Amino acid sequence: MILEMQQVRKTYGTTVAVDDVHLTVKRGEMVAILGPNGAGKTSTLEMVLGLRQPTSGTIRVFGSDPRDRAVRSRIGATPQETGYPGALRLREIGLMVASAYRRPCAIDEVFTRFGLFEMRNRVASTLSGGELRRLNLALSFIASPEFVVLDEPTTGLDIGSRRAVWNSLRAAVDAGTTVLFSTHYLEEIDELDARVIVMDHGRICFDGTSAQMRAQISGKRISYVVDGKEEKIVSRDADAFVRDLVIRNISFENLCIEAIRLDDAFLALTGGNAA
Amino acid sequence: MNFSAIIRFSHYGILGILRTPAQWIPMVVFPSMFLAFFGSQISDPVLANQVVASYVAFAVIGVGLFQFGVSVANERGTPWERYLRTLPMSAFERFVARIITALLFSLVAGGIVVLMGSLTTKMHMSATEIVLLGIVSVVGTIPFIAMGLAIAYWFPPKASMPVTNLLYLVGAVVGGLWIPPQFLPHPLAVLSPYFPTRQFGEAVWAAVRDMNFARPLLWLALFGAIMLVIAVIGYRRDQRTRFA
Repeated sequence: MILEMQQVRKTYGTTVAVDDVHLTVKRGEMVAILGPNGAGKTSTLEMVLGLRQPTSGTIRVFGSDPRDRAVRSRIGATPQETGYPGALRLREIGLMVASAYRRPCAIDEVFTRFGLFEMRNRVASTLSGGELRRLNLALSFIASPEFVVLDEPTTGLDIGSRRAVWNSLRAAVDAGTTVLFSTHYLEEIDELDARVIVMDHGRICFDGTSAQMRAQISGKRISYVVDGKEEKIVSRDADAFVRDLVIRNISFENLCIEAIRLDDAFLALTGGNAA
Repeated sequence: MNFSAIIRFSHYGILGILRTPAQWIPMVVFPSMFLAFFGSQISDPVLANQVVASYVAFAVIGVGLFQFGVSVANERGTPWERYLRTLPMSAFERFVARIITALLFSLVAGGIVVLMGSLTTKMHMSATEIVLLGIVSVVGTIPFIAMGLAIAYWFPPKASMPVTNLLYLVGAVVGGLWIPPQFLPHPLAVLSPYFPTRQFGEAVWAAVRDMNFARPLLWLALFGAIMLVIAVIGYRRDQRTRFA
């Protein structure tokens, strides 16, 4: 078992950030934590990394306390915000991080893998958002980690950069690395075929595949216009719903019946809070 | 202890400072520049020795206060520091790397002051006195490193720079490092012996006059211990709010 969280609760003063979280991650899994802002995603990841301590409950990574040096040497993490030392070149930053590990990979090889080799002598402050994110990722993979923990690795990236991150994550999982990441983007789950954890108000409200998530709400999404006003609903029995509209003689226009989308399921799970 | 990481971190710490002139010019250039301005008229070699030693102390205090007071204050809340905590490396190892960096800059800053003194003043120091001055200066930096840390963990990052500058300059003047204590005006002369900068001055002056510097160093050790306790309480408080 890579990660085991039991009855984990985290409070800041009177605010409950994480509440009664049970989560286990097995070797080789790709797990995405999804949830609206303030759902407790970052607090959960910070506890997994040993940066914060749970108020109650237990967290075990590789069966030990995540603060142990032996545990940390097997984990790769990235900073959420970027704030690299202003005066150092990429390669120097890489060597600095690598020196903390007993058996780091060759920097040039890791940089090549993440498309950073050409810019290895540049200073971090001259990189674009997508390039910085690649540097973040490269640093998390600098010592062949068994487990990488990534806080929103694709937030704010254009689609090209996002695809590059997805490819890196797929390659990592194919190579046997376990990946845990948080995200705002529902399409990433389908794209990466990840296990989904949906968090809301500090609790886990769904744990499964994206297909299972869609199946949480059965039916169709229906939209139509009445008196110039658009109505949208999700109905279990779309046929009966439309028959009812006709029988009640409602003069609707632009009727549209579609399959359930992942974000409908997500909205239903989180009670209307968008990701 | 991961020595290769400590060496790497101090190496890049030094490189980072060298590539930021705003960081190394005040530490390395200013003290020797002040000495060149004020020291060249002194005709008495004994007084010249004292003034050169004063500026050596002034230089190394600056390294201790700025590398710890200002730099630690500015870095302690950054995402980069947060990220470094996830690495298999202890805060202590990163701290050792920072100490190595600071002591190296202390030696360079102090060395340049001595070099400037030998070029522009009538100072006369034997090799033994120079070595003693070097040792006393490095040892004397440590309490001011503790003071820097106390500032870093008790003041918000934005306040650390003015607070450090103020304490640094007031300490240097009242401690008799800029104006020799025998020339200090009355109220300052009374206050002077109670300043740690004055005790540091007494230690370095004793070193270049072949006198006993144990008493002022003991005084400094006491001051350093108090500062260290304040720094540790501040550090724990900071860690509790940030990583609880």
